[in-house]
Amino acid sequence: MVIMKRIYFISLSLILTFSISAQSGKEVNLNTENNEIQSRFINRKEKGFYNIMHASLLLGAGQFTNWSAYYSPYPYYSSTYIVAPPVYYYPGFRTTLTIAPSFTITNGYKFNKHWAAGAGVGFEILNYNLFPLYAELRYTLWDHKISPFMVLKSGYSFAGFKARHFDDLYLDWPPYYTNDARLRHHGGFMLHPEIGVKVPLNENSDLLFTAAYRYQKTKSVARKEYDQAQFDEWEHNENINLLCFGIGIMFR
Amino acid sequence: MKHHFCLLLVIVLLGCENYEEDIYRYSKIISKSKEYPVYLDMSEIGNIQVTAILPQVSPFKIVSNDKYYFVGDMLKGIHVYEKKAESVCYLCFIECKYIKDFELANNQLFCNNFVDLVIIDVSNPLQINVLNRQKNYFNRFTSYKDFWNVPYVEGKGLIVGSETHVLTGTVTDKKPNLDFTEYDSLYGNLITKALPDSWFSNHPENDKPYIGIIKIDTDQIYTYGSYNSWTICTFLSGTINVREENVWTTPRGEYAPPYYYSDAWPAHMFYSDSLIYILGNGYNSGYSDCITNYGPYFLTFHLYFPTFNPLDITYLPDLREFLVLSGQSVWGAFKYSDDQTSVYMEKYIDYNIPTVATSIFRIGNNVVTLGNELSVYLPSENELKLVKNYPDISGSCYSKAGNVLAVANTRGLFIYDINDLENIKLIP
Repeated sequence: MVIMKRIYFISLSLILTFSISAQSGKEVNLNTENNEIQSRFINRKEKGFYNIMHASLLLGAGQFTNWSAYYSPYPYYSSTYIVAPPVYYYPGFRTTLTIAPSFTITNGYKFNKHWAAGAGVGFEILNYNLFPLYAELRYTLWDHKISPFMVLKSGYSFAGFKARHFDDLYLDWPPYYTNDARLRHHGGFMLHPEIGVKVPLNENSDLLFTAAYRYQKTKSVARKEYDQAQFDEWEHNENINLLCFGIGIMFR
Repeated sequence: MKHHFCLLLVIVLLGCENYEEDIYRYSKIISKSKEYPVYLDMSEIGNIQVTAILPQVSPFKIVSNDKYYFVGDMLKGIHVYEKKAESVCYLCFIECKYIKDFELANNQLFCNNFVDLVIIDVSNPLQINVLNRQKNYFNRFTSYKDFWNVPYVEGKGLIVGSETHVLTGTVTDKKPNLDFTEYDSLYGNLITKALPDSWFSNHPENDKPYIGIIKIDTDQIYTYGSYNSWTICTFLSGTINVREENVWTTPRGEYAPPYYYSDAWPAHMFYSDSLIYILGNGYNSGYSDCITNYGPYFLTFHLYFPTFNPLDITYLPDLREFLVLSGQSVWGAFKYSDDQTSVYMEKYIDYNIPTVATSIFRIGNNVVTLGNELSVYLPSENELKLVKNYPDISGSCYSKAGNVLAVANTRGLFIYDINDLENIKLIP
C-alpha cells in the first residue's frame, strides 16, 4: 500500500518536473505569413522530451442500483397502540450511460519524428476515483504538419489506498447493503489504445484530438469483521469497457 | 451525417457491456446439530422363555387345544393352564414381551414379539422351543400406511429414539460444512434395550405396532398385509411360507383383504363363525368390518360408529343383525336385504342397556355379555331382554367350546358349564 502510494507520487513528481523542463524557453516570434510558419514547423526538433496534458471524457454503459422504498399499507394494530408499518427497501437495477472525466499528464521522449515513448499519471472519476499510472508508445505519421497518430497506453489504475469504514454501506453489487463494514477499491489493469489528430500550434506545441477505447479492470472488496477472526467478505470484480474522447496539448 | 454519428455512438456504447463477477468469502464459527438414531437392541426383548408363575395383569385372549388353555396377557406373555379332568390348573408363564395377539395352530403358537413374528412349539409348554422368528414381520406397511410402521432401518433395527449432538467449528467459503466424521463414528450406532414408555398408552390396541393374528382353517395364519392385503403364513414341516393376498391375487383368496382407512387404524381382529371381524378406531369414531367368505364377490360389511370405538361384535343370523358393544351400551346394526351390491347397514339402534361389558357373543338364540359381570339376553329386533345376570362372573376375555366357557380375569382362568344359560355353574 505505502509502496504503491510512493510509486504514484514519485511518478507524479517526475512527470511534473519533465513537464516544466519540456517547456521551451525560447522566445517565439510568430509571423502571420503562412510560408514562414510552415518553414518554422519544419525546423521543429525531432528528438527530445515531450509533455502532454490531456482531458477527456470516458463514456460507457454502467449499472446502478436504485433503492426503492416499499411501504406496507397495513399498520400493525394491537389493543393499546398502532405501530407504523415498516418500510422495506429493495434494490432495483438500471443500466445507463456513464460519463466520467479523465485528466492525465504524460511525459516522454521522442526518439525520432515518428516514434515516442513515455509514462503518465492521471485522475479519473468513475464510480470512485481512479489514479492511472501507465506507459505509452506513440507513433506519429508526420511531425511537422497536421497528422494522425496512434498511441498505446497500458498500466495500472490505482483506487483508494486504504479501506474506509461505513456505518451503513450501500453497494451496487451483492449484498447491496450491509452495515458496520469496510470498503476498499483496488483498481486494476488498464489498456488504452488511442488514435487522434495532431494539429501543430507552434514550434513547441501541438493540439491533440483523440478517440480511444479503454479497458479497465477494477476490484472492490467490502469486508465485515466479527470477533474470533470471523468475517464476511464480498468481492466485486468488473471489467469496464469505455469509449474515450478528449483533447490535449503536447509540449515539446 | 450528424444522425449517423449519433446512431454509431449509441451502438458502440451499447456494445460496451461490462463484465461483472461477485465473490463471497466468509469465515464463521457455527454450531450445527445432528440427530443420531437410537436403535433397539432386541436381545432382551426377543428372549422368549418360560418363567415362574406370574399374576395375570391384563388378559386379552384365550386359545386352547385338547391339553392346555393359553391366556394372553397384554404386552407380557402367555399364561398356560393345563386341562385336568373337568378343571384347570396353572402350569407356567411364557414370557413374550410386547405381545398383543397370538394364535395356536398344530401345537405351535404364532405370536408377535413387538414387531417380530415368533413361532413357538408348545407341545410341552414347560419346555418351549422357538421354531422360527420373522423379523419386522408386523412392521411392513407400505404405500399410504408407512406411518403405521415403527421406524426401521434394515440391518440396524428399529429406531426407538434419537440423540442430538451439537458440533461447533469454523466454516469458510472453501469448506462450507462442518465435519461430523468423528461424531458419526461416536454416535452412529447408538443402541438401547428399552422401549420408550411414551410408546404405550392405557389402550395398547391403539398403539403401534398394529397387530392382528387369526387362524383360518387349520394352519393358515392371517395378519395385516402391507397395504389392503393379507399376509398369510403357514409353518409346516419346519418350513415357513409367507405370501401376500389382495384383491388382484390370482386365484382369488378365501376372504376379501382388509381395507386400510385413511383416518382410522385396526385395533382388534378376531375370527368367529367363519367371519373375520376387524374393529378399528378413529380419533372420535370407530368402525367394524365384517369380512365374509361367501358369494361370488368379495363381501365385507361395513359398520360405522360416529361416536364410539366398538369393543366387541357378534352376529345374529336369524335377525340379520350385528350386536356391538360401545363401552356404555349395546348397539344393533341390521342388514335385512340380500343385496350384495351394498355393504352398508340399513338400520342402527341403541338398545340403551347400560353396560361396561367388553365381550359379547352368541350362544344359541341368546346373547351373552361379559365384563365386570356376565349377562344373558334374549334378543329381538326391538329389545334385548335380560334373561339372567351373574355378578360373580367377570372377565376381560373368554373362550367357548361346546358347553364349556373359559373366562379369564386378573384372578386367573375360570371354567363354567353353560349347558343351561339360566344356571351357569363354575366347574371347580
